[in-house]
Amino acid sequence: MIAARWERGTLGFLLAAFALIYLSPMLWIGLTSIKPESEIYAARDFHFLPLGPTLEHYTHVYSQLGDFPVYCFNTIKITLATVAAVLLVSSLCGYALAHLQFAGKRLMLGFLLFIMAVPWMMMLMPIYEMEVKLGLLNTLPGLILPYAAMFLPVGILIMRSAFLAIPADLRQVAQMDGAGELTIWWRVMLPIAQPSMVVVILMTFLSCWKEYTYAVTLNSLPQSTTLAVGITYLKDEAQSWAFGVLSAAIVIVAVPLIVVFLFLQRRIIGGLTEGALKG
Amino acid sequence: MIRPVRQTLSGYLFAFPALVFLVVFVAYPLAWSLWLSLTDYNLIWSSTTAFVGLENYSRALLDPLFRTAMWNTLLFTALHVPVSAGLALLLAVMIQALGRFGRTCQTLLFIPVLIPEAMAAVIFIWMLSERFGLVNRVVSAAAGAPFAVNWLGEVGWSMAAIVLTSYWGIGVSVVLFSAGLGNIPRVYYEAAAIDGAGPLRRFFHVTLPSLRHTTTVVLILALIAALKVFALPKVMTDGGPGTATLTMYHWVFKNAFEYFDMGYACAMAFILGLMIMAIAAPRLLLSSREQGT
Repeated sequence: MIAARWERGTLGFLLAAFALIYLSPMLWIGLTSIKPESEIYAARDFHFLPLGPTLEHYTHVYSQLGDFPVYCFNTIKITLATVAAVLLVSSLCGYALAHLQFAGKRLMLGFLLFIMAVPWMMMLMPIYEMEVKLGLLNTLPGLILPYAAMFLPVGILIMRSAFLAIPADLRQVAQMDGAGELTIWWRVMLPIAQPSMVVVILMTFLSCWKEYTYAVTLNSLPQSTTLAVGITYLKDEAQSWAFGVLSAAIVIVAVPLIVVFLFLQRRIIGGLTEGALKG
Repeated sequence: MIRPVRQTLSGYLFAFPALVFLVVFVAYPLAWSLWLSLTDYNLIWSSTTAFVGLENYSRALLDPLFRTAMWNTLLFTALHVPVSAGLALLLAVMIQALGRFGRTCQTLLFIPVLIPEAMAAVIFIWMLSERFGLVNRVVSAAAGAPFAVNWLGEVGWSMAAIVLTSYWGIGVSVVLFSAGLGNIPRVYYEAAAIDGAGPLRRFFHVTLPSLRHTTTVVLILALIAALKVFALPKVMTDGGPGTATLTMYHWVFKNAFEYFDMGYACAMAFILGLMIMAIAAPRLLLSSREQGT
């Protein structure tokens, strides 16, 4: 299977060229964010790299895109709360489905698999109405609760298979020592299942931060919405002539995210593969 | 006999919180949505709601905009799925062949997956800007003549713009194919090489058949995602120009939250939902077998 050297070289060149083109939107945003307005909107001369780089757009983000920090904090709050809820509820339920015997267990598992195939658009209208009646529209819990339900099934299945991999003997030994189910879950099972908990955290975080449809419907007002929706409001706020500031805002959000991803990439990619093959 | 009873009880207690979420936000809304789809419920005129049977469903089939939206969505799907799956497979094969360098490229190709679709839409609005966007500028420079297509404002180009943007989320498929390729025993290739099979034959007779399961998963995921396409057209063109990029999800959304015609929106959501679930069904059966139910 060892290909000839020039074959590998050509292949590597092609792949690198594709990666460069593929990531050019990222580069373009990064470069736009440090170009002065005169270069961004130059009618004739076009230079990919900035001639006179400037950081002015970064200093203008706060003054020109007033709602940007609001979207950031909303996203952080909603994501953290959703991840916490999904982690707790799915590790409880996953344990029950893996190690405890109760009537209706198979039914619940079947239901979980079924709802993973149901598009969430079907539930959107009634949930919207429900939130109108309960006054949850445009509040943070109003988005956190449906999100928790939305990302729960994948979380439960990941936790269930993590718990299934733990031998039942371990449970019996703990039981003979007089431990109750809650103690066994907390002291024996959860520590072993920790890698899968990390997967659940990462997957929920990613889905939650990217979600658009529910956010734009249930939390459409600027004071309660997330960045995934807010970014489109920023575009309107900045008008079509302020791509410099807008690019700066995108860079501010994207850079930390990419750095974290580079550190955790194995787990994120592994978790996504597992989630996709399971879901 | 005390143990089983206690176990049953704790089983319910452990599963209870999840059950609450699933009943309140899935089972109940789903049933309610089905009921609403059989009424003429309108959020504004809700005092005069009446049961109308299957009228909303027949209305959808006769609604020219529903047909337009269906056609646009199918067009998007036809342009998105084969290209993105094929490209992902090609990239995964290249990545696999290149070892460490390939893995580095895979990591880079995955980065756009981290970006929400609406943000990708905004990025591509700027990329495709008529006078100042990178795409038109590079094409102009390469062609030596001004190239100023109004990507998002012209009927023929707007769908192309959205399809182009959709290819940016290919990273997940690449990763899935890579995982699938990693599971193919090397012996297969060695045996094929001994039999004198060249790279193309090896690809078609060893790689592709071994990837059957992965390919199914990737295609089904891509199909479902494509049929649900919403954020990209909503942000980039708002369904326009005219109705050139109006998709099914977008039409449901408009009916529900712009015209507050909830009954009709629910009926359309059910039509789409059943289509999508029919596509998801084989995968559902597959994973239910794996989960041992």
